[in-house]
Amino acid sequence: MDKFKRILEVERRTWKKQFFRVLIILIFVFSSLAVVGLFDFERISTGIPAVLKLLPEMFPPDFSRAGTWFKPLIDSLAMSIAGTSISVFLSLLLCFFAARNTTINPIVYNLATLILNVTRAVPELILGIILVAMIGFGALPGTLALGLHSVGMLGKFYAEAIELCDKEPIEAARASGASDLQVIVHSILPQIFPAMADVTFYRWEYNFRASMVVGAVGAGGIGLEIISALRIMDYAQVSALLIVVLVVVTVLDSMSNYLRKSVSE
Amino acid sequence: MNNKLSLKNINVKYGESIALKSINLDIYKGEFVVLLGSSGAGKSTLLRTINQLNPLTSGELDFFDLGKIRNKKDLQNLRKKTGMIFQQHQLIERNTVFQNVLTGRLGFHSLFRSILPLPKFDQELALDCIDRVSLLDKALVKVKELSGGQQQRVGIARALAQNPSLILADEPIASLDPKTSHQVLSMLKDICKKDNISALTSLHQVDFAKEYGDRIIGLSHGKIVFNGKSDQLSDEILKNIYSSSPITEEANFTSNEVVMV
Repeated sequence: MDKFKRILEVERRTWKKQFFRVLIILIFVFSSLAVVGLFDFERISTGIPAVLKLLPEMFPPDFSRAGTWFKPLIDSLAMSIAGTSISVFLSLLLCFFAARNTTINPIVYNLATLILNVTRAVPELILGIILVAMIGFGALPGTLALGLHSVGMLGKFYAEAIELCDKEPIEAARASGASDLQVIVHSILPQIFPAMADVTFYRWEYNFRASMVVGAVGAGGIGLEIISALRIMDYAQVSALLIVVLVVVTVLDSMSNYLRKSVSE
Repeated sequence: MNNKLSLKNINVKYGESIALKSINLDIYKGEFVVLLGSSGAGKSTLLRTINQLNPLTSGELDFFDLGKIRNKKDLQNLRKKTGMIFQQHQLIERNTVFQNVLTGRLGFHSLFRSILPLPKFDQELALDCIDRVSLLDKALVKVKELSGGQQQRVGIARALAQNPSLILADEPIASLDPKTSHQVLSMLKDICKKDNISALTSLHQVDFAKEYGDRIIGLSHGKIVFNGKSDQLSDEILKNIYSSSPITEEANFTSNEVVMV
């Protein structure tokens, strides 16, 4: 039919465009896989015997030193909680300046997003190394590294949640004579609270895992135990430590799921 | 040749509470039936029980040529032949009118086939449906840019694209102004009459129901309390339909008493 011709033509062109977009993405994906050597089957096949040699050395897991892991484990947990709270505090301060609809002026907005980008750009491992050099070994530099790096992600997500807020309730609060700060506290915060809680708990979980990485550079916690065992090639102890970590991570995961659910209801 | 949809002794319970109680109802080919009742009377439940978006607790469905609905396969066929129109139109707002109407054709293709552009037959059918609701010039416009009445017309076009035997409309005009409501309802009825599609439409407004319904079903507390033509709908009966206290008397209406239009 003639009157449909134009529409069908446009639709066909849209589909073609879409198809080429997907094609380009696939090209990028596959060339990246090739660059990192995933298609280097020879190398992968030589790696398999090495894995087969290493695996038996990890069994059975050696729990003989388990008694001494208690303190570092508590340290790691404390690091993740303390680090997350530092980042929540800093993110709450920054996020309103980094959201387009609540910021005070473009300069402040750009400054806030710049801070978020920088903290996100520097990995916690690098931050950990720098902080250990500055204030010495222990859980404190690790906590600060986690806290500072997390601001980048938490602050950005908080700001995005603020930007996605429904405008209508904000308008209603304003219409009733609320001040700008009252609008933020009573109209924006209730709206973004579930989303904030969601990413915060996710970040807490992430920070526990990251605490092991910064632990490896001397910032304390269970990570230090793992890296020490690796250094003396005591793989049986490494596997035992990994099992302990797996258990803790699983417990944390279900705990944060439970907390997330109870907060968003 | 089975020329009607029959609901036989349908019961629906949500946990302990009874949503529908022994519903017996026939809807004939090409008949435009309106469902009246206060909020919570079970209008939506009744509509959604027919295509089993809500599971029924007990009872039997006999669907035009398909006959008794016994298994998943029958149900899928029933859904293919049943177009649904929702109060909040339930369209994908960021997609175009054309793309939305094409989703009415999904049931006729496999997942793999539906990832590729649908055959020309389906595309032209979808455009024809869009043309029938007078939106052809908006076919490539995103749904979120349309007015409420236009969006509901897209909903009608999507239902129509299924080539349905039956259209279920759940308060299709509840969020529209009176003028647009008339437009949408008369459009829906005209199309149903022309294509000999049966329709079951729940409405809030009695005057709309009287104007458009070939037959009116009154629902109260999960039971049918009226089943007849609009001129039989007296104030007494309306009071009964919209009564807030559960009715103690057993209302007895069977479809046999209804004179066909």
